[in-house]
Amino acid sequence: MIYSYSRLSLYETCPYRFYIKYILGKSEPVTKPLALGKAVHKAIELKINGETEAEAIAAGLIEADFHPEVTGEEMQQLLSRAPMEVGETEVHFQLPLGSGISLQGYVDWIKKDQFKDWKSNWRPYGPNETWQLMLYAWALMKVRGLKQIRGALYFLRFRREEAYVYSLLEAVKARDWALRLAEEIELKISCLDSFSDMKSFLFPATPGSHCKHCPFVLDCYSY
Amino acid sequence: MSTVEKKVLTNEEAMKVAAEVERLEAAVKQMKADLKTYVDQNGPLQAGDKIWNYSTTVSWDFDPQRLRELALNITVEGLNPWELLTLPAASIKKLGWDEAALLQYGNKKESKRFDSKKA
Repeated sequence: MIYSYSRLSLYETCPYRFYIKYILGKSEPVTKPLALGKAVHKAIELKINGETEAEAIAAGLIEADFHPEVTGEEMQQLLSRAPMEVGETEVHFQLPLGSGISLQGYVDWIKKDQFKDWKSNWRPYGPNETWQLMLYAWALMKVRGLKQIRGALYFLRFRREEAYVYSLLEAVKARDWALRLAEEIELKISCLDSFSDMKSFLFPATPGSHCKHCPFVLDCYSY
Repeated sequence: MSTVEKKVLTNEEAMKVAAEVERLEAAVKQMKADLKTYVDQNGPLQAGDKIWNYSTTVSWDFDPQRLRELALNITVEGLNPWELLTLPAASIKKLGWDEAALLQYGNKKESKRFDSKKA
């Protein structure tokens, strides 16, 4: 399995949801926040690369598969709040984490030693409240041979940037977090091959406020 | 005859119960959504001594220009309109008056509600 920040973060939040989604391969319904994020990212990317606002919004709506709750109006609002700075957009990276495990991700915007992740969230948060920014910083420094990098979360609704300058030494903490979780998952997957009835022991449900948004809550409640 | 003692949770137990409440509430919400879909397609469902179906709630939106007339007609009925017409909390908030100003017209009532909110 190739790991990404979102996969690891989901495993850390609830191993059982990770099991259903990534091991059983059960798909999750596309929620509005997910569809809107996808649409807005596409639109910003295209506008930075020279498309007109109307074309960018149309492409965003197509990208979100015309999700019924995603409107052109809301997209236009968010698009108008995005920083239109020239840079590389939607940059894919894939690199070894260690122990034969690979990490991949997509960075929304990069220019020299700076990168940004656009967020359409309703609640802004600090750059190190999750491991995402630090993990991306580590990956980009490795891939591009940099000693330090400035990473930022850009909250579109609030035109607010939460940034932090990472050194490689510091960012290695995020790599260690990712590697520890990925190794744990790999070990559990190999155990599952021999003891398939141990799924609830190996991937236990961890109830909490995140259950509110979990599409598998009924499977979880009755298993 | 012995009585059942009320259990006082330890901190660890309370954390587990709180997390379980979140899961149960999410599961109940999902179950009700599934029942609603069933009723939408098949009509009311009788399950045991309960019927699952839509019920109608009625509320009235009065024209602000005609409230004086409404109050007058309530008086004609022999009732005090000001006992019936109250200011909801949202309207008081909209007014933006501080407590001292509001205390000139009435008393503050406080009630406690037990629930969880985002930390």
